[in-house]
Amino acid sequence: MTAIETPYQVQLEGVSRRYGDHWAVRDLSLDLKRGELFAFLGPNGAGKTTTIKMLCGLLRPTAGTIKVCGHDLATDGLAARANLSYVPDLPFLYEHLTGLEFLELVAQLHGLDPERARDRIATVTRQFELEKFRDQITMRYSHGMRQRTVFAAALLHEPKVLVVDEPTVGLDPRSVRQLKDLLRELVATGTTIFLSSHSLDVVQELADRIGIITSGKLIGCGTIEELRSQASHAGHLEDVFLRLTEDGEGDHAGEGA
Amino acid sequence: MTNPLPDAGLGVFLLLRLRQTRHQATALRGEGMVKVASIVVSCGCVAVFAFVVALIGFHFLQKQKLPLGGDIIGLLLDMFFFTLSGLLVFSGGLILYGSLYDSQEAAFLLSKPVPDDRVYAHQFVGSLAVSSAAFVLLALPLLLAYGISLGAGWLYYLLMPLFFLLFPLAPASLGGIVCLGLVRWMPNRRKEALIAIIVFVILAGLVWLGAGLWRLRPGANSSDDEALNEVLGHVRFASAKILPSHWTGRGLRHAARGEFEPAFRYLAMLFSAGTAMFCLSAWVASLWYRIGLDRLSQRGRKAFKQRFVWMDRLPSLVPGIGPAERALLLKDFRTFRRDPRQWGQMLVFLVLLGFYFSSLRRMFPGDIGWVFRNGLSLMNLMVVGMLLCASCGRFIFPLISLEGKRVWLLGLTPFPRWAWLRGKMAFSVILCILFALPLLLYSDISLGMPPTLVLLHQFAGLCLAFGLSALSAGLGAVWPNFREKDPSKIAVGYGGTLSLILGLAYLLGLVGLVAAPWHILAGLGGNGQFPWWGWLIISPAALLGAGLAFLAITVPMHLGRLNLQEQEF
Repeated sequence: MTAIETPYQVQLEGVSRRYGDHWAVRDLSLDLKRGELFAFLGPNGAGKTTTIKMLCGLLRPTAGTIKVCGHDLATDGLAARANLSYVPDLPFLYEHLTGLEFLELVAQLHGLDPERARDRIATVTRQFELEKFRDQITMRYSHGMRQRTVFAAALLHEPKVLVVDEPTVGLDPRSVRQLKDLLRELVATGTTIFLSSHSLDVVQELADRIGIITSGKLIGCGTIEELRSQASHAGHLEDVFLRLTEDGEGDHAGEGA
Repeated sequence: MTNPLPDAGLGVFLLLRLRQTRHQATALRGEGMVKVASIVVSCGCVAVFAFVVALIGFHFLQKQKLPLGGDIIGLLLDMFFFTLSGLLVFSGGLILYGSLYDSQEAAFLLSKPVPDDRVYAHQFVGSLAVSSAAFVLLALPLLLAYGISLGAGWLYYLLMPLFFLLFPLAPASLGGIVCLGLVRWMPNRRKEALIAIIVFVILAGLVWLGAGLWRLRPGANSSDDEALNEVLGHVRFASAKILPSHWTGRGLRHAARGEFEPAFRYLAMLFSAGTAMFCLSAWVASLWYRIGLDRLSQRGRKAFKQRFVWMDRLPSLVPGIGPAERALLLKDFRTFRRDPRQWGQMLVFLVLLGFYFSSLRRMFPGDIGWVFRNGLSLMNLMVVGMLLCASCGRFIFPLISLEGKRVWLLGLTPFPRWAWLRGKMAFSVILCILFALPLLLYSDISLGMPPTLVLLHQFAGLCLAFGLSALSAGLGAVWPNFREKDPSKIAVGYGGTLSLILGLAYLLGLVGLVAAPWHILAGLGGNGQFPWWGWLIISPAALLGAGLAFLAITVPMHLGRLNLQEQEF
């Protein structure tokens, strides 16, 4: 397959998505570079999950285009998804498979040859400390064990883009710390991360850029300093977020009227 | 540099299924041999029962000098497989809808670089296995009895599993195409569209058949060849040469007669048509699956209008329950009626039975003797009872398990857990009564049965409604499965299967006590009359039946109550 040279790993151009009469996402444009951690924030119902589902090819944009590593999701979906991994907020595992079998399945779905699959499985097993329970049926896993297995599976094929939805929910402080270290390592090796989270502390600590969406519209996008400047507030991300989203909702309430 | 395009072949999905099956079997063994033995014995009981009934039926036909390898039996086999095809189209489509559009697994696979048609194929295989299970359980004993009655050779038994394997492929693929098309073209009105299609197909079939039957001469005798030909002529469409159901029946008949070449020819035709239909449905999936999923996601924003529905008034008519139980009951009714997967198959059976009873009314009064009518009346009671039993097992047994997911709400309400169980039983009793009693009344009136038997059957129907409801609700609390979200999977588990078998045993016992003595005495009399002392047998037996019903209500409900009180969530 021909590699498509592009400076951006993820490109959203004028993406909109409508549910009936309701616009969940409106005219969203974003370009994410290689090795960038982009955090996507917004109140509940703002359009974050819709954007993530469009990015993973589970929903189609009503308008606009989405490219992953230069591959258009609408016309070249398989190639786009081959470069992407998605860790949903409610991770899915086959209850009647062992953790190891699940990893083998994901390696096969991504077309890894057996030797590379073995190497990668050994690597992620060490990385996520799955040795103790990888031969157990996943039905018996705790939330933390499930989350680690799902992350290990997501990184098996060394994706160029990792989409993560609410990864810290239900994790203990040690696991959150490990997750943050992992995300840093991935970014350092050139993986682009699209992170959706309500944990503003984690976002402030890790994100290169932050996008804030409300009522389907991107109302702020930039580094934490740029957002502070936009909000005319020099405080914590939480205050910046609240100020911007209050303003944004006020603007859109006016539009709606 | 981008990652290479993978090519996950069907072998990957086959391995996945094998591994899942292996671990499920291991988990089952880990839960003790009693459970495994119960499942085997339960399934065996159902199969043996169906086998014996079929064997008696074929023996009866042989006594009537009907050649089992002949055209009339061939036509009946064609009708059997044609009806099964229709059921497989609907049940396959309904189950596939859940697997394709309402499953975490499908969303997981669709986010991977796997072509849509392969995801479809994987989900199709799973839903085919579920929708064909009942077909195998029903058809296997019947065809074994057919082979034994006909003295079929090894070829028949060798080819039968292959016919079984290939027969469901075409109807289930058609169900898949209908499902994909509905979601693709009518995602916001799929429920209405589904109902419209089911009702249209059933009504069209009934009008067509009804019009033909109406033209028959009432009072014709079954020995009248012309009348028999008229009847058969109206179902001869099932023998159309283009139907895979006809190829199945025809191929099996040839195999039973030891005719190698035509049997294999029909098997090959079935294989070709089945795989072609499957490939067509997979191709349709590659075009419509993801688009349909996308359009389906739009439905969530559609405004929901609360309308008055007669069913919601039913809980207020139930005596002896408090406001909290009434609220729970109302919730169950609303959940039931808003999920067509729950009642769609029941509706099909209800209409088919209604039609069958109507045709009895038209055809039999002048045709057959008292003995036959007497037997048909008893058989109709059994059929209605079996449908109640299957429905309770499928819809009522999983209810307590499903409440486990909402225990944070129900568990904190100020009324005892026992009330949940009573609510489930009341819900089931109302539905069973609405379903069974009118059907039984219609059957007995159609056959011209005397008022005493009508009353006896109504009493048996009431006992069945209460007993089977209590068995399913109570045993659902004794063997709950709080991990599973899919009610159909809960119903086919250990507890569900055992509950179904106990329900069938109760059905046999109750009909044996309440109705069978009347039918036997009236049958011996030859004309529906029996001496006064017959009531000395019928009345105590009916009382014993009432006692059996009392046990069927109290014992499972008591056990369920105890288990529910001790249950930790």
